[in-house]
Amino acid sequence: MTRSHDADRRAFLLRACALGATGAAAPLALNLAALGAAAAQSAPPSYKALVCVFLYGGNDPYNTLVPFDDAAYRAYAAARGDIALPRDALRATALRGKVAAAGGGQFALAPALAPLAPLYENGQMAALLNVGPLVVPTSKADYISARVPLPPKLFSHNDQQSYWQALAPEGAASGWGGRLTDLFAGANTQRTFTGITAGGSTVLLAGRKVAGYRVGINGSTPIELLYRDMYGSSACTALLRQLITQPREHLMERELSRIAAQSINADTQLRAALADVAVPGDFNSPLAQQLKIVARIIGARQALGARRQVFFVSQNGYDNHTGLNDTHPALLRELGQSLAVFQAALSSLGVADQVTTFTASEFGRTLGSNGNGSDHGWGSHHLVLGGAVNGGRYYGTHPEIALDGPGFVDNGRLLPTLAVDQLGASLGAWFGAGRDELGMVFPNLRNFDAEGLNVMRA
Amino acid sequence: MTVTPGQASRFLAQATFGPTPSQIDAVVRDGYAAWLDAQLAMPPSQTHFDWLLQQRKNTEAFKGNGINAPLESTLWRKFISAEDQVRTRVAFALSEIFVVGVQSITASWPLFGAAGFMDLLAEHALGNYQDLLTAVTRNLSMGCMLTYRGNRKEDPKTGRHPDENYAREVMQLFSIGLLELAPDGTVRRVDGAPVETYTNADVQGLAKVFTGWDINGPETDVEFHRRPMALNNALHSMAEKRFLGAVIPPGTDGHLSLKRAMDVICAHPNVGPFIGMQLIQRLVTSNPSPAYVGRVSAVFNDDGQGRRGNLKAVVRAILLDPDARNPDLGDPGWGKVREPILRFSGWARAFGATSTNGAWAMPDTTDNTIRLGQSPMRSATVFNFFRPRYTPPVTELARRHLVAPELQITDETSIAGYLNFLAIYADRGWEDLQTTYAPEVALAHDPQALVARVVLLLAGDAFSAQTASAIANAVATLPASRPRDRVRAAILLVAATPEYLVQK
Repeated sequence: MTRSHDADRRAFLLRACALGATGAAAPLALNLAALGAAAAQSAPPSYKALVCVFLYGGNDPYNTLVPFDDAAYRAYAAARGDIALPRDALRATALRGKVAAAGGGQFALAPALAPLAPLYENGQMAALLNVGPLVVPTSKADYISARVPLPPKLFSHNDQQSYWQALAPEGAASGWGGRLTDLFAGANTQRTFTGITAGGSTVLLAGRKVAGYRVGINGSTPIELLYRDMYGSSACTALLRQLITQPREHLMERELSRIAAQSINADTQLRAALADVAVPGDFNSPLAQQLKIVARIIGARQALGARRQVFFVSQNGYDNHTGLNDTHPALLRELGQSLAVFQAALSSLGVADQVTTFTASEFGRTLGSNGNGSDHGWGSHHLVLGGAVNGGRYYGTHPEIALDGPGFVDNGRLLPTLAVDQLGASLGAWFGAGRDELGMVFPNLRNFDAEGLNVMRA
Repeated sequence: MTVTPGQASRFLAQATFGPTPSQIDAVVRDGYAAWLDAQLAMPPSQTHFDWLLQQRKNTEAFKGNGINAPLESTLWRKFISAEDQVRTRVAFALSEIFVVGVQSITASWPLFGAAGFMDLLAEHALGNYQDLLTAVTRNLSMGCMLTYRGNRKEDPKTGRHPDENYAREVMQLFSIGLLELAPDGTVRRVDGAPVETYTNADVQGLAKVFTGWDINGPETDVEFHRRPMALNNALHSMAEKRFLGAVIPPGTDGHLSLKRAMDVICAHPNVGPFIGMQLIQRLVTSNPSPAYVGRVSAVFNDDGQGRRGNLKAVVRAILLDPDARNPDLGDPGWGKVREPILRFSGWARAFGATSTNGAWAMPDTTDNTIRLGQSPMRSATVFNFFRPRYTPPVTELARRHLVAPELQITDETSIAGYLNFLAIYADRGWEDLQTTYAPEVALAHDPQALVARVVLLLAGDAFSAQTASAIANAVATLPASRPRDRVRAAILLVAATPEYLVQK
C-alpha cells in the first residue's frame, strides 16, 4: 500500500512537472523538443477524452429518469401532482437493463429522451441515481443537525455549478477536469488543446498551468484585421498584432494580452487541423452544434497532437421553477437527439470506445410541485455514455419516494447517496489516473468507499 | 483643485457612457463635484417606454417574443445621447445587479417590459434603495424573470409549496448575498469560518411572501407593463412567514407581508457593503480597497441626514472618493476591464456618432464572433453576463486573490469578436449611427496630435506616451491625402490596446 502510494505520487509529480520544467522563456524549438521527450516518457498508449454536458439551471431528475414500477410510480405521481409525467407516455422508454436499481425498482427515460434508449439497451449508456455534492457520506439526521461537513452554499446556482466542476464553490482556483489533465501534461504536444470549451466559461477545465480554451461552434474565430493591411498600411497591422499581444505589467492587461496571443496562435493551428475533418450526422440544435465541433476536434486529434482531452459543452434553461412540462421536454429532446447523433459520429470516427460523455448539472430539484414547476434541490440523476461505459444498468440507489422520507431533506430534496467525487473518480480511473492521483484531483474521495462506483468497463 | 482634461476624461468614463469633448471641458471648468451635482439634480430624460410609444412600436408586430429590435434602439439611444448620463449609467449598472433578460418576459410586448424595467431602474437609481427593491419586486418583468408572477400559496392537501425562486435570489443577488459581511465588504469570520446569511428554511419562509402577485390589468395595450403587479389575496399565503430571524404572523395579507419583508431585508447590515461594492465594481474598479467600500457603505447606512439607503449619496460617494479620483495609476490591480457595451458607447460619444434619422437601428450585440458578446437587457440568466467575484483561474490575478468580473466573458473567441466588430463600426459606423470624424480629420495631418486626441477621448490620462507614439508613427505611414483613414486607423489601434481595454 505504502509502496504503491509512493510510486503513484512520483508518477504524478513527474507527469505534472513535464510541461512546467521546460520554462516559459525557452525558445520554441527547445520547448517542442522537451515536450516531445516528455510525451515519449509518459505517453499513454491511446487517445481518450471526456465530454461534460452541463445542464445549466438545475435539471429536474424526476422528469428525466422517471420511477416506473407500480409502487414507485404511484408515489411519484402523488408527490409531483400536476407536474408528474403520465405513466402511459413512459412505456416506450422504460429501461429494461441488465441490472435493476439497487433496492429493486425500474425507471423510464423521459419520452423526450427516446433517442437514448437504444444506447442504454446496447450497453453504451448507464444511469446514475442520486449523485450530488457531498463531503462525507451524509444521512438526513447528519444534515439536520449539521454534525458533518456539508458542501458550502447548497441550492445556490453559481456555487453548486462550481462545486460540480471544481469541488469548491464559486471562486475555485482549478477544476477537476483541469487537475485530471495535469496528470497527463506530457500526453499532448500542445497544452492549449487539452481542455476545450464550446459551452462558455467554466472552471472545470482549469488546471495548474492553463485554463480552458474557448471555441465557437465553427471552431476558432480569426481576428480579421490581422489578415489584411489596415487601410493599406502593413505597419499599422504589424503594430496592431504587437499591441494586442505584448506582455503587460497591469494584471488585467496581461490577461487580455495572453488571451489575444493564444487566440491568434490557436486559430492558426486549429483552422489548419480542422480543414479536412467532417463528421456525419444532423447537428441542428445549439447543443448539437457544440458537440459537432467537439467531434471535429476529436477527429483532428492527431494533427493537434492530443492524446488526453476534456471537453465542455452546455445547455441553458433547466431552471424550471415554472412551466416545467412546457419547457423541459423540449430541452430533453435537444439533449437526447444531440447525444445520440454525437455518439453515432464518434462511432464513425472509430473512437466510440475512447470518448466518454457524461451529464452534469448544479443540482436536482424538489420532488414536490410549486404549482407548475420545481425548486432547487440537491441530488440528481445523470447519464454516462460511450463505448467504454459498462452500460445498460443503473448505478447507485434511490430512496423510497416520500417528500419527508429519510432520503429527502427540506421537504422533497433528494439527499445524495453518490458523491460527485465518486463519479469523477470512476471517469478519472478510466482516463488513466492512479488511485492516489485521483485522491489529489477529488478532495473528498478518501471519505468514500473507493470501490463504491465503477461505471466503466475494466 | 484643478482638473486636467485627462483626469476629466477618466472621471467621465466612470460616471457616464463615455467622455465627450464638451463634457471634458465642463468637468475641467466646473470641477468634479459641481459637475456631478448638476447631473444628480437632473430629472430623468424621456423614458424608453415613452420613446417606444412615440415610435409606435406598440403594434401587433411586436406583441410576441422574438422581434424586440426596437429595444436595442432605445437602450443605445439613451446610452449614447441622453443628457442625464449619470442616472442612465447607474441604471445600467443596476440592470447588471437586478437582472432581467427580455427573452424571459412571458407577457405580451416583452420589449415594453424590458424598457419599462430599465425606466424603473432609472427612476429609482438616485432615490432610496428600499423603494427601488420594492418597485423591482412588484415589477411584472421581474415577476416573469424569477417566475413568481402567478405564484400560489402552499396547499397542504397536494403538498404544493410556493415557488422559491424570487425568495432565494432577492437575498442572494439583490440585497444581502450569501455570507455575512463586515461594513468594509470583507467576509466576517466566526472561529475562522464564514457565516452563511440564510438557510433553506429562510428561503421557504420568505417564499410565502411572494405569493398572490400577478399582472395588473388586461394585455389589450402595453400599459400593464408600467403598473406594479396586483395582489390576489386569495392566492396569498396567510400562514406564518419566518425568515432572517423575523416572523410575520399568520393572517397577514400580501401588501403588509411585502412591506414587512422589504423592511427586514433592507435593514440587514449586509446591504450597504453588498450593493456598494457592486456599484463600485460597475463604475470604478474591480477590487476596491476595504476602506473605500467602508466609506461607501457608511454613506449607504447614513447619508449624513440620518437616512439609510440614499442612492444619490452613495453614487456621489463612489465617484468622488479619493481612491476613485486619485488612484495610483501604476498599481497593476487598479481599474476594471471595460465591458464591451461601454466600449461601443464610448466610441460613439467620443466621436459624436449619432442617429442620422432617429431610428437608432442597433443590433442585438450578443454574438461573440463579430459583435460584442454582450447586449443590454439580454443576459441569459439572473446571474448577469459575469459574476462580481469572478477570478480567471491560473492567472496572477487569482494568485493575488483579485477579481476581474468582465474577464468572465473575455476568451479566445470574444476577444477576436470585439476586434472584428470594432473594425466595422470604426470604419463605417452602424446603419444610421454615423459620424464624420470632423474634428479628428482636421488633425489628421499631424498624427501625434490626432492620436493624442483619440487617446484623451477614449482612455483619458491612463495611456502610455510610448504606445501613443508608436501608434502615431504607424498612422503616419498612411498618406496624408487620406485623412479619414488615418483617423480610423488611430481609433482602431487605440481601442484595440489592453491599455484602453482596462478602464483605470
